[in-house]
Amino acid sequence: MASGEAFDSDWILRMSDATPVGVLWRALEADGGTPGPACAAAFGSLRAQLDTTLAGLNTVPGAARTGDPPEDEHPNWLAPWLQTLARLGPWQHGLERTQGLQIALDRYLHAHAQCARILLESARTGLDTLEQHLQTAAQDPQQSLPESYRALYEWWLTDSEACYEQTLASQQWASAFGRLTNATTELVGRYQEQLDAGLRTLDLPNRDDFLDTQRRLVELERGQRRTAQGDELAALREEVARLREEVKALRAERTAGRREQ
Amino acid sequence: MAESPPGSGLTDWQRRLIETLEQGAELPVDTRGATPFTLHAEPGPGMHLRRYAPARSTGQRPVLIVYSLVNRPFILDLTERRSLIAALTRAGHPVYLLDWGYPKGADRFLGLADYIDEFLAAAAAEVATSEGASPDLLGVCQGGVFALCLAALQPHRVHRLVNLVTPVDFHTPGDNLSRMAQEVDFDQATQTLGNISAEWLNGVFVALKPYRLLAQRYMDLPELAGHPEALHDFLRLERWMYDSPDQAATAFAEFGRECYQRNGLLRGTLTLNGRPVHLGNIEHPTLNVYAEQDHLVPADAARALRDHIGSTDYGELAFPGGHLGVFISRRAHAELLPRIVAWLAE
Repeated sequence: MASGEAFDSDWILRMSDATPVGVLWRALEADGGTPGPACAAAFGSLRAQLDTTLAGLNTVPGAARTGDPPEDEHPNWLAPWLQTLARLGPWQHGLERTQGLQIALDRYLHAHAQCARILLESARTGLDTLEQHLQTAAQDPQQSLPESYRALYEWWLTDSEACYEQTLASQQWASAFGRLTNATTELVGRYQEQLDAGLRTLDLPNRDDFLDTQRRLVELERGQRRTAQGDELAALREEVARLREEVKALRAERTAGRREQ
Repeated sequence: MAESPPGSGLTDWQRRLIETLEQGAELPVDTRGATPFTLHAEPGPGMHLRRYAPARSTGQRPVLIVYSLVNRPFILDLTERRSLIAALTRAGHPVYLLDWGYPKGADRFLGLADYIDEFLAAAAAEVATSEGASPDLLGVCQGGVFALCLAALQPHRVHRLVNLVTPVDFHTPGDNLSRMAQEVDFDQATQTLGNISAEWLNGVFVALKPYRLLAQRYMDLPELAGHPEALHDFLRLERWMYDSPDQAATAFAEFGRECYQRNGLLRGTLTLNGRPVHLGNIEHPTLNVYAEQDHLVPADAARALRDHIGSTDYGELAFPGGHLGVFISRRAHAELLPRIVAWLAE
């Protein structure tokens, strides 16, 4: 079986009707192999799907903005009220932790939506590029159009990847990725705080306790290693190694001398 | 357009897929590598210094391979036909490989100074004691950075250096991995997550080439039916790609912050145990091997060594391929490795 032959089998084509390239291939077939109205409709439909998803992302509070969200999404006048209220009463530590968790969750949702939007826009640009690519090839007798599902798949892959690479190289993506990573770890940290507080209340060992023990263990081992390195034994081992090297060099010199004689 | 009779491909495609899956299930996936070795020492917690005996006794100097912390080293010994380690033992070198192992919970507090100034230094000392000669260091990717640091700080431990696809300038224009790392708060991430999970890190690496690694890589799997050797190679590489240790938190944060964000190796601001690492202090004969289409360590990132190393005996080999191609491609084994072996034999 030649490379790519299995990929064009009828079974996989039917399976792929649910994928963007499968939809485009069926449309290209319907247009007789040259992009026409069916292809235009298929591209339009795929773009509409992406636009619907993008619109859904914009319902996340503040997702349409770039950069960090404000400390919280409450109106400015409400934020200090809530912060002060969380500091009152016997449960103030718990309330402050919960408030911090809520802010971290908002920040995470915002950062996630921003990353997803950038990736969807990249996928949309990839579709535009592929459509343009097909139209250009159709108008140029020197170029050939994809004659198999696999060939179209390769075109889609190459064009989409090129757009993705541009996204990857952008400062916008680097910032969004950094914000999402930081927001994720902050959110995890807030959950850890809540969990640690609960375990402490029950007098069960928590993360802080484990880390404290591990830190002491590593420091102890590090101290032992350094003591061992300073030992006379270590110095002797190195001396032996140096002497062996000298003996080896002397033997090599002697052998070379014999050869010259 | 070519038309295929309805249903004709069904049986054939399914048959080949089933054959591939059945044949794949029968194949072992051994991550030890193809060349036999003995465990020689334990330079650090969970670490092993492996020794690969030379195939013939020629008095060649020992080679200590310093691999990256990010993946497992069996890519260097994937099969008998594609093995950098076997190429070195065939040339008569006793080969040592420092297997960093899989960090455990308490290892989160191990920093770069522990890894380089202590564990790697201890491994090099052990090789020197056993073989009667300080080793040539062969650093791979991040391991090359470690080898450079050791050569700069403890020069007597190292005889010569060979760096394979090793980043030195972390701020070159085409470095997407570095660009993505610039705004990450590594300290917050490691304090929160502890050792960085392999899954998370693999996700980042896959995100650099998702179309190739996820959309394309598995498409022709049925065509490996009836080609057991190719299928075995495919499965071994597949296992290698995702058989990644977690990253010790402190060392990971230090590497991300000092190397990727502050470019400390190039600028001389990276310090280990309070001592700055100056590439200008490295006077060892050095061979720097880089890949011209490397998406993880751009050629410029590796080539930067030439302008900053103190050695006057410095050479470069450019390989026309990608990061992994240096280790596993037929071309590398036919053309590149013999040149590295020849350099080591000088």
